[in-house]
Amino acid sequence: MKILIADDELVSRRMLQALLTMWGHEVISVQDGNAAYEVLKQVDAPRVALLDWVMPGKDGVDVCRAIRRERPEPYTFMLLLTAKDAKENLIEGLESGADDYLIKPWDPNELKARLRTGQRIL
Amino acid sequence: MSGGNWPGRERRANFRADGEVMLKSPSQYDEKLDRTSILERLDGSQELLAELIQLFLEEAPQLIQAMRAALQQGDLQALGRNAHSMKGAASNFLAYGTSSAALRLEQDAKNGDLDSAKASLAALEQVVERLLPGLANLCQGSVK
Repeated sequence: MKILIADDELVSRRMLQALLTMWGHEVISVQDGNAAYEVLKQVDAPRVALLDWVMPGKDGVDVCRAIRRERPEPYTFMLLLTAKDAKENLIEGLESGADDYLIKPWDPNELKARLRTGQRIL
Repeated sequence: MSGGNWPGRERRANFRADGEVMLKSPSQYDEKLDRTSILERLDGSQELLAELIQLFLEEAPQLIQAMRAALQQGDLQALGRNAHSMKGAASNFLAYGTSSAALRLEQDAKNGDLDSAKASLAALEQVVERLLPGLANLCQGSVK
């Protein structure tokens, strides 16, 4: 499966990229929300995106909103990765159009399960 | 918020696995690195662990430097952003002491509390200074 990951922090981005590659996925890796948005609105864009919430430029929530608004079809399965400390913010994330979220440090098994959900939906 | 009650025990926080914030005492900023749990998150790949540690050893001093510069310039946005990055980076190694100290600094930046931010950055620098050799050892497999 082709997956976009967007995270401005180096270690987190590399860890995600390495694990997804180990699990057999094809990974496109970007460092901010603007780049994520540009990739996701392309014709042959990945159908699954893992987006860090807090990033320079467009944040993860902005990307979700923009993609749902501007590219509703084909459906993009979007997960927010967040180190947010207040749970009420997560409602905002989900209302932006994200399918789900994972709290950092996320559990790889939980990530795998979420990706399976994504595959079922797509 | 004022910085006057530093080191205020009641204002320390740490993450639980479920993302809730819980209170910590200052001494609990110390790290106890758990190699087994960290490796479990990496599908047991020691090679990946070594690579990520190497990246962190390069990134952490740059983040600290950026935070010092931001604090000097009173750039609270940059300070908060870099503290947030440090929090996320350290959490990959389940280094909760560092994550907590970085969270504290991120909150100070968000609250516009420069005095408290100075103390929080000093505390973060101390815990990172202890974390780096711990991670370097972890790389060689000598720390449980």
